[in-house]
Amino acid sequence: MDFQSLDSSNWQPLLIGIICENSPSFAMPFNPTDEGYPNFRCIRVPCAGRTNPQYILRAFQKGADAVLITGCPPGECHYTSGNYFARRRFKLMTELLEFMGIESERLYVRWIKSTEGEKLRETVNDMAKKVKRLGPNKLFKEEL
Amino acid sequence: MNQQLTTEMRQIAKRLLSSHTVGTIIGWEKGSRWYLTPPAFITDENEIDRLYYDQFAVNNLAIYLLDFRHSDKKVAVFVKGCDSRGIIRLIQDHQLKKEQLMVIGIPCAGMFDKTKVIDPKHPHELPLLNKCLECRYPNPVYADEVLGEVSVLPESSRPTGISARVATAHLVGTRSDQRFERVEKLDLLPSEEKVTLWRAYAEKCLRCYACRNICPACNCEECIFDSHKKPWTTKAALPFANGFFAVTRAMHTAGRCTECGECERVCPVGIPLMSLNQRLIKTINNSFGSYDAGLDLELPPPLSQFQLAEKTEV
Repeated sequence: MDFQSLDSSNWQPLLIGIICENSPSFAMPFNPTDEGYPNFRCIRVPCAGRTNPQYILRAFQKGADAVLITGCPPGECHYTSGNYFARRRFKLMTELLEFMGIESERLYVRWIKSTEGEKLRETVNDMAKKVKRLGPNKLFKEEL
Repeated sequence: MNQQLTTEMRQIAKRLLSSHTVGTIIGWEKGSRWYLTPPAFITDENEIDRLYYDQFAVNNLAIYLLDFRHSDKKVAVFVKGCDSRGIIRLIQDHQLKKEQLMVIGIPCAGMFDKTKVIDPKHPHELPLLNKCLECRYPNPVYADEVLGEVSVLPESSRPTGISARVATAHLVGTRSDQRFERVEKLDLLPSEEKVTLWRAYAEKCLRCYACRNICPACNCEECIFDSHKKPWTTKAALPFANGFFAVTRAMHTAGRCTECGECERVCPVGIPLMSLNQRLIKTINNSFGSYDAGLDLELPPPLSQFQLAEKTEV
């Protein structure tokens, strides 16, 4: 556990991005010189369809406050149809987690085009703002 | 009615075993208490008198067929409406072939809720299980042979066969349009209460895997929770890992759950597991079109297909 999370007054949300490596926006998720950019970490997957629902749960277990999944927009998948299957799966996953008490603002699924690096940055900033209001995530969190 | 069905069951069992058509017959027998009718496995002609059927034969026998996956002899199994959907489930998942099975459909008059037993020594009146009041498929949807004049109906129907009158008197299927009531009630809770509730359930969970072992949709040869090599999960029964297990189980059976309610029945600590499954079924019906698993052998489950025009972002 790092010191940041021990001090509740200075709590910063931890955002995990599960990002399709074929949408080139993964290459420019953040600018380290950007002041106040949220604590955002990327996990590259070959396709949004490769994202096992357990990856999301694992992120929440390990202390993530919100998870972002991005893939290519429908019709532009590198593997033709991966994101169509992913779309159905994440629809279910979001609603199930919402049923169990994880607010829908904590699980983002966004289709971001290869040319829209800025959109990813904006999404992450937007997520951080909303999650800050919600506070830390409690369900599924690993406690030792 | 139950007497007649039991006699018919024994007759067909005798015929099948004496002609060596099947190697094993899976049915029910009378248990040690008046409210217990556990599964029975009959391989010997002399044991057919063990077979018994009454309104406590709630066990879904479909899952036991997995033990006969590699058997060279046919297996006969008795099915009620909800069990027969489990059989379709297994055939559709390529766990079994139709030729390996002899499915015998029997009429169902609804099953009694044995958790409501007050006096374990003397039989008394009991209410029906909720799932039977909400039942939409009281008749077998698939069967090779039938007993008790029941019809094989692969669509939503009213009870048929010799127990139809009793079933109607017990109000089987009268609440079928309100089956999501419990889920909707839980859905209305604020997030903090939901978190407290599900964390409490996660703390109760023993990770006995009874829910997994009884489920006809949970039929992987090797379950990820049996493996010690998966670094992203743990076999320890810790609250966070139990929540992980519950969500994983629900997601793995999403779109394939036949709503037999066995997971919730076998849970020793009373976690409402069916509410997770029903929540997913509700989403599937609302978002991807109405779908009931285990009815049609040809129709692929909703998560194995897609439509181009659907809402894209969540």
